[in-house]
Amino acid sequence: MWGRVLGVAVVVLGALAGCGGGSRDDPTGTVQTPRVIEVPGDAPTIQAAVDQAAPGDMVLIAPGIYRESVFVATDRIVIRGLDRNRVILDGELAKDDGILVTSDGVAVENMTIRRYLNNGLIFNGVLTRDGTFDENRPPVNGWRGSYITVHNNGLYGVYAFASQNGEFDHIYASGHADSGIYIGQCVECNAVVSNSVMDSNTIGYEGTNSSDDIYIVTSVMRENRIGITSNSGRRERFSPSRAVTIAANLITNNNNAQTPPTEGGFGIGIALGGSERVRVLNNRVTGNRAAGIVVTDQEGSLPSGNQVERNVLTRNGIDLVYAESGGGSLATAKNCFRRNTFSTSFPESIETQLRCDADATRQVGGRWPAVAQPPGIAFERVPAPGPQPSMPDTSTPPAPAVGLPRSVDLAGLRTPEDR
Amino acid sequence: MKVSMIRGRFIAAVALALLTAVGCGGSSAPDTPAESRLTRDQASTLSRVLYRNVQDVGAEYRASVPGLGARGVVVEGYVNFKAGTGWGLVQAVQSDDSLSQGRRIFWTRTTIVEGDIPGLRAAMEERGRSGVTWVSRRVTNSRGSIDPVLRFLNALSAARPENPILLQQGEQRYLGSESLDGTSVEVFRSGQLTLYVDGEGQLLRVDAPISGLRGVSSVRLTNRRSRPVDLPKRSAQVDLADIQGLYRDLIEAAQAQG
Repeated sequence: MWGRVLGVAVVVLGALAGCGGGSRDDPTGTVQTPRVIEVPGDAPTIQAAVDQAAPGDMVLIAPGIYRESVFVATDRIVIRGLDRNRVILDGELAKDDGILVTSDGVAVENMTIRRYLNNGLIFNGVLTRDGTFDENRPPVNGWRGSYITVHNNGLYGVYAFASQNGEFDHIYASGHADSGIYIGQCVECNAVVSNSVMDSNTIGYEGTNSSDDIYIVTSVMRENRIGITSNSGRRERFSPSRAVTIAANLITNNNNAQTPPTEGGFGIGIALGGSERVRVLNNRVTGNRAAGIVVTDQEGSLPSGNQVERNVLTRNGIDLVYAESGGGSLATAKNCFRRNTFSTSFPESIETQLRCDADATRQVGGRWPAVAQPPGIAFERVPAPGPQPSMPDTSTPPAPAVGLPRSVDLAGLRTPEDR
Repeated sequence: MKVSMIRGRFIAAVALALLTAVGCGGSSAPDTPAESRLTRDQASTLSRVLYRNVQDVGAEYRASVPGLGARGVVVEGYVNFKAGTGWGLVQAVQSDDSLSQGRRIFWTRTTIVEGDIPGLRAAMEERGRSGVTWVSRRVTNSRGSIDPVLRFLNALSAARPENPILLQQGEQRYLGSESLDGTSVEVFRSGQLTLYVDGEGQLLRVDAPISGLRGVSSVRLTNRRSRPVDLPKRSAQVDLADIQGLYRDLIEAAQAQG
């Protein structure tokens, strides 16, 4: 089903999600069977069920509309909806976050989270388990969000902040005033985003100051203002973003004016802003009015060591761009383009000017024609998405987020077909 | 400031949108013993405050601007945060601390329309246009004009909440609670701004240095509601570009008469 939707399935190797995490802690050392706490059968609210759960347990939610914010501070629990489209957390444009997780190894799956003022689902590694801010606490270790529809939330759909070792898969995110999916402020993030759709957001996927073994693969970013950005900023810790792989995604028609506005770009497929060692491989990037793939500086961070290879680009304003954000001259150190299928570039002959076998740092200058920002609409007004496929089997044992992420076999990924 | 062609990160509406609007540059005093980092609830409150203004559509305001004119001005009226429009009465503070008769203004995000300019109607009639009582012009960045004040009022709005995590992590601080005209308020600092927020999450007052103007201006917000802002009809307006010399002469004459 998702293979048809996305054209190509992510190939995963290694440990299955949840290995080693499916049993409850017990002070005697004996292994207990995970408990299933049903909502509303065993607990009237999701929060009440979460408060009862011990590590290894599962909170299983019946169809219904749940008007609550859920705070999770217990390790290795699974929060599962019985029906992705009929288990609905609704913030009513009044509550902050749908589900906020501060503990390790928590998995959230198979539900819809909508209309929160901040985020649908957030893994937050700067809040302690009592909700106190502490930016020096260890990051969240182990996180997963699967088969979740998030829409019309004020900031991000699903959000991993100061968190390591996790996955977002089969996410459908639309109508967000920042990005549909976001990974930020982490080093050794070790994260995979796969088989997801980001539609009608300000930005489809965004990673800011997030580094090391991040894979954004086999997903669709369409009808946003910007499809994907990996960027670096001074207002969060751990700048710049480094060592990210963006591969085998379909990034198309990111020119949607009926989305929440930003003060930044519009009509861009992939934008690398001040990132280092980002690989952009085997993506199909099409119909983006300003540019297909842009490599530039951001907030004082210069791009370095980025590779743009084997992508197929059609019908973009300019297919490939390497330029300084203000139109000046930009030093380039081992940023390179090769074996892409494209028609236009800035500067011209970009694969000759910025070759992958060239070592020297050199200057590239000039202004490329960006596209003006249309006004846009409020996040609350973006049309809600239709029903999405639920997880294949809701009767499977709970698989907490340990042993993640699964490894990605880049060699098995192909450029998706145009649709 | 260079605008990123990707995006400047949204971050901290209060710290960025406002500070960008007023040009404070983000410098801030170090923590004092009375200040504290924001709790989660406080960050949530602060993150919503400008978005709340838009949800409420608009409010009546009174802005005290010490940096305009010889002794400052007071502007009172209505601002529609959602539309970026408003109207007001601009009055100069006189030597005896009373307020001048004042001039009416209307504005949008791009245009300011000024009225009550002595002699304008007669002068325009001499030029063959009757019924002209308003001068319209583009909003500018010129120092010493009312324009930065109006831009600041418009900037007290956001189409979405700010990210509370980044407010907690940033330079925003909680200063304590106090009473403002009998209403209990929580007081926050964001850069050089001081914000007073009531228990309903409504911004009641903001103190800020406004770009291009000396001193700290203070804006009070009351009576939140949606009201139309109808600019004067076009036939009653003349574009400033068409009467530059006349406008200057009329303003100088009015100032000479006190």
